[in-house]
Amino acid sequence: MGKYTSYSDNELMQLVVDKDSRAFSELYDRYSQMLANYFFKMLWQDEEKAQDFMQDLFTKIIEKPHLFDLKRNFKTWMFSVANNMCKNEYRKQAIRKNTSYDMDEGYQIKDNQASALDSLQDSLFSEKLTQELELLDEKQKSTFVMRYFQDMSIKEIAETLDLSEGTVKSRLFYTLKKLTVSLKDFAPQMAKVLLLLIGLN
Amino acid sequence: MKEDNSIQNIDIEELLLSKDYDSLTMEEKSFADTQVDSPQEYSELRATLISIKQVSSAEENVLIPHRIKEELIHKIESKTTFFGGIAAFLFPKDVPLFRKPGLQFASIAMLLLLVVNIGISITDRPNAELAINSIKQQERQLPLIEEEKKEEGFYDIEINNQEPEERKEVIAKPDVQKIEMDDEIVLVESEKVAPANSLPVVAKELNKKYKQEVADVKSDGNQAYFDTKDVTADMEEIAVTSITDTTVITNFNLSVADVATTRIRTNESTAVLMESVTLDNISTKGSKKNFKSASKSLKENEELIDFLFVAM
Repeated sequence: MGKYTSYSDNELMQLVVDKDSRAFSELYDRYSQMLANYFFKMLWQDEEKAQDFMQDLFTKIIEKPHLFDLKRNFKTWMFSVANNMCKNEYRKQAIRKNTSYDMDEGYQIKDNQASALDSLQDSLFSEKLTQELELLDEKQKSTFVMRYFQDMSIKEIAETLDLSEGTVKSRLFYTLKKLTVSLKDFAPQMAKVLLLLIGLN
Repeated sequence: MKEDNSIQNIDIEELLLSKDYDSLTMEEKSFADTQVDSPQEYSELRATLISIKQVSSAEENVLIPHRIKEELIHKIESKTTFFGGIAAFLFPKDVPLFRKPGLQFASIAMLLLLVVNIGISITDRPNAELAINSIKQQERQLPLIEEEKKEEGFYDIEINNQEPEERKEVIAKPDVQKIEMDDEIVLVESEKVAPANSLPVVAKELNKKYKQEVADVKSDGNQAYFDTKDVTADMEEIAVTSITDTTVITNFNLSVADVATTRIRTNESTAVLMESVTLDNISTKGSKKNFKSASKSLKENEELIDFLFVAM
């Protein structure tokens, strides 16, 4: 097992094509958590759904490993597949929203008044951020999650989403601006505290 | 709105994360001014970004059950062999029993087998009868083929253990019949086939009868017996017996010739010679069709028979 840890993603993937279970296991260990977190963020904080989607993605890798182009970066390829899966899920949910009256409570968007009340009751910035992320456009959301929750570089995001780096940067910046407007009741205070702490240090 | 190109040259994110507005150099400040409307906005963006970074780093990981990895590893291992792959496809582990494709295929196959069997049993009855009929027909045809083979020759009924050659001599005596009989005898000699079972019995009976008659003639010295006896009656008797036994006496002309010869010899009052006269050269056939042809030949020779009787 030890030698597999030194292999690159693409080398491992080449072995997976030959049905090497240990190579697959190594890839799984490297990316399963990252993908589960991504799906969790992208799919309305639904842990079970995140697990299912992550499993589906790895199943695809097992069943159709030949779809992976060995010239590409495995991580970006995998996230592009994950992103497409999320897009499909959004479409499904959009159809359900249009046809169903009893929407899941967790997926409902709260109005500003409610969010203000929430902000008073719940000071947790992350919760507010999560709510605001749900309001974002799918493209902005995926870019933002990849950048700030998956720690992916601008270049990787550009490859994953098949965009230029400039487009990724501008998209990120405008998303940040949008979130700042929504989170100004929380983030500045929190940031001030943090900045104070940093300044004290 | 500010131009996007400026963002590409200097990364605003780096600036926001690393420096507050007051700490920016002139060049950075001029760049920041192209991106934000005011220093306050820069500060708000910076605070939000730092907060997001803090939150994301503190974000708890989603729990992943270990079974997911086990299932995936099992899946890839089952794919290593061809049959393993098929087995994994037909009987997946994470699916209820009734949803397993293997079980579904098996049940469909069973159903089809059942339907096909029932269908055959229902629809194939006429065919089965036809099959039986065809078998019967084959069985019927078999003796016909045998008979056709026999048709080319004639069964020679050995009576009184006479040699065929001797009979030939006896039969060949009348000149009129000689040619015909020679033809017939040639056939007899060329193809000697075992006689039918029923015919020897008839022949023996007739032979016995004639023997008895000859003995009576001998004892009584009544030569006129043969003058008054209707030989055709004997002929008919043979024919009728043959029809009822589904065997037909063929080559009637020859039989008639034999009988006629017998009568000629009787007229010559040669009782000893009469003893040797037999009903040999009676040939048999098994079909009515052949009987018809035999009847035809008898009819054809009717004049000859009449002539012989007149001559006697």
